Amino acid sequence: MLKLLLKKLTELILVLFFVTLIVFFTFRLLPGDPAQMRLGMDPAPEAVAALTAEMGLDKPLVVQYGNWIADVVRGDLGKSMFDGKPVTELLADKIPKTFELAVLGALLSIIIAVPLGVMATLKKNSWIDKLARVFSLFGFSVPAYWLAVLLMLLFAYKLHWLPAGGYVSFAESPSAHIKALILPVITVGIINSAQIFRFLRSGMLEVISQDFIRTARAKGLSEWIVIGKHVARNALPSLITIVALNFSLLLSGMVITEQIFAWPGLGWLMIQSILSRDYDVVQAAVLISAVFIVVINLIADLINAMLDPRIKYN
Amino acid sequence: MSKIWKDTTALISLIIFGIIAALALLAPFITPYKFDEIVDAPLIGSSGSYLLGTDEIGRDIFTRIVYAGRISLIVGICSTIIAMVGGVVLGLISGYYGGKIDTLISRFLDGLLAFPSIILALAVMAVLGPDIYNAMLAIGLVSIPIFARITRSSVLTLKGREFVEASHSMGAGDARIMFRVILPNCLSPLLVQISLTFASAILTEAALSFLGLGVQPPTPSWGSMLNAGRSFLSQAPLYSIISGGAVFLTVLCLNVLGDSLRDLLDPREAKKRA
Repeated sequence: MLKLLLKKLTELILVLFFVTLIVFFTFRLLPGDPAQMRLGMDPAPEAVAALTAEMGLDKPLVVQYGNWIADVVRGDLGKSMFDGKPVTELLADKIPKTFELAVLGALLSIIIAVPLGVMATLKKNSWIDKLARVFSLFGFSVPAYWLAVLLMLLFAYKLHWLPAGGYVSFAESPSAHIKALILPVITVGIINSAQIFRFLRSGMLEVISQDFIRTARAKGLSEWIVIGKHVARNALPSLITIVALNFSLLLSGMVITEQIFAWPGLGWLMIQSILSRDYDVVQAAVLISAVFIVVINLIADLINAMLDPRIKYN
Repeated sequence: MSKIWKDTTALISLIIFGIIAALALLAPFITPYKFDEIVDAPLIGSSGSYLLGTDEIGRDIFTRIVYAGRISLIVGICSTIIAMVGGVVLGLISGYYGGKIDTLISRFLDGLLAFPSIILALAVMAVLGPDIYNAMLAIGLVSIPIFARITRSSVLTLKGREFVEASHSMGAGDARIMFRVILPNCLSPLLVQISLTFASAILTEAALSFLGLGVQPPTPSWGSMLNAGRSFLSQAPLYSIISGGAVFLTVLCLNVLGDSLRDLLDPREAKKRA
């Protein structure tokens, strides 16, 4: 286990190195001089030169990258161009809101996908399997923004049951908070569940075709015990991997969902910052989401290794 | 029975996609107006002269939907080509040479894969500025890793086979072996991926345009039309429904086609899944 952890951690560091490289050089491609941009229209050349030196922009790229990484590791992600607030402060306000949506969305998708996956595997090629596959194809193809608009039209404009968007904090009004959550969570959950269902079904079908399942059935165990105990335990690692891998998709969907429902999370912040050209914030948001995905996948690998001692990840 | 059902859905998808492509291709001959022509008052409902009504500044929605299909397909095709070329080259090099080069390329791709695709595409668009060519580049870039991985794993299984050794012993160079000997043998998984990437590229283009960072006005895009329609959901719900529905239908057809292509090219896998 310790050896695996060490191996995974070195891999993680290498991947994170490339992640930071990609982020750093992408944002280095920005047209124009960052120092000049910061000073606004027609700054004095001396001021530009001074700020360039202060920001370290006259140093070689490798040094600039090193300085940036050192800042990031120390928790300094730069300042917002507008109010001069540290970016970390902005992120600390937005991340929990995204996290709430992401976790609830992931939960909903598991609640939809797992029973559907189990039933589809148990009754392969029955109407329920076919229906579930049509649902999954739908979830794969439906754009998040369209699903959100359709839900909004029905539940907010037609039935007037739920708000069409906006954020109310839980402290302010618990019921309004929950009402505002419902549509975004359904949007994220449906799209995500389609992906989870698809992989779960093929994973379970693979387990079910193995010899030990035939043995369990031959022993006369009921189908529910075969599925609930023997298949489930062997399909669990793949479910965890899928859910973890899907977090990346979930975050992608979240950018759009947050934008549509005016949910002020990380994705919403990112779009606002892109539109207002607040690049330090954009850069930090991109970096944080990638780091988050890498860490989630590491955790999933480790949980799987604990659940299934055969996993060595060679 | 199941096979016939599958073939029928694939055939229907192919026909629908063909119609969408034909509409896009023949847009100037089919549409009654120009896509940026203000023809009447804003937000008129559907009628004889305006099939789907008019948009927020009085342009014909049907005309714009058809033209937007053009944009979607062009962006889809170009970004899929970018992803395929980049991914195949990286995958071939990484799988063929192995060792340090492989580790370096693989970790770089892992790094790229760590970014949620829309977020990476958004970052690229933020840096390069929103326009249609940058959208192609951004969408192509985020799909490179998947092509590279597929190519790499095919190369790894093919590398040791006799026919590769044979051409090696006949004096073929590395480039010739990679592109002329190995590549033609890993086409079938790539073909499936092309149709799936095409679908996701259309989804991403519409998402970028929806967020205002893709195709810029007055050029129509399904994503930006959906976004425009969002402000008039109670007066003109059809505007948003149709724009998003167009994306959905196109992507659905491509996904169905991708699935049946996979079954066709890889019967063993298909048997396992069926």
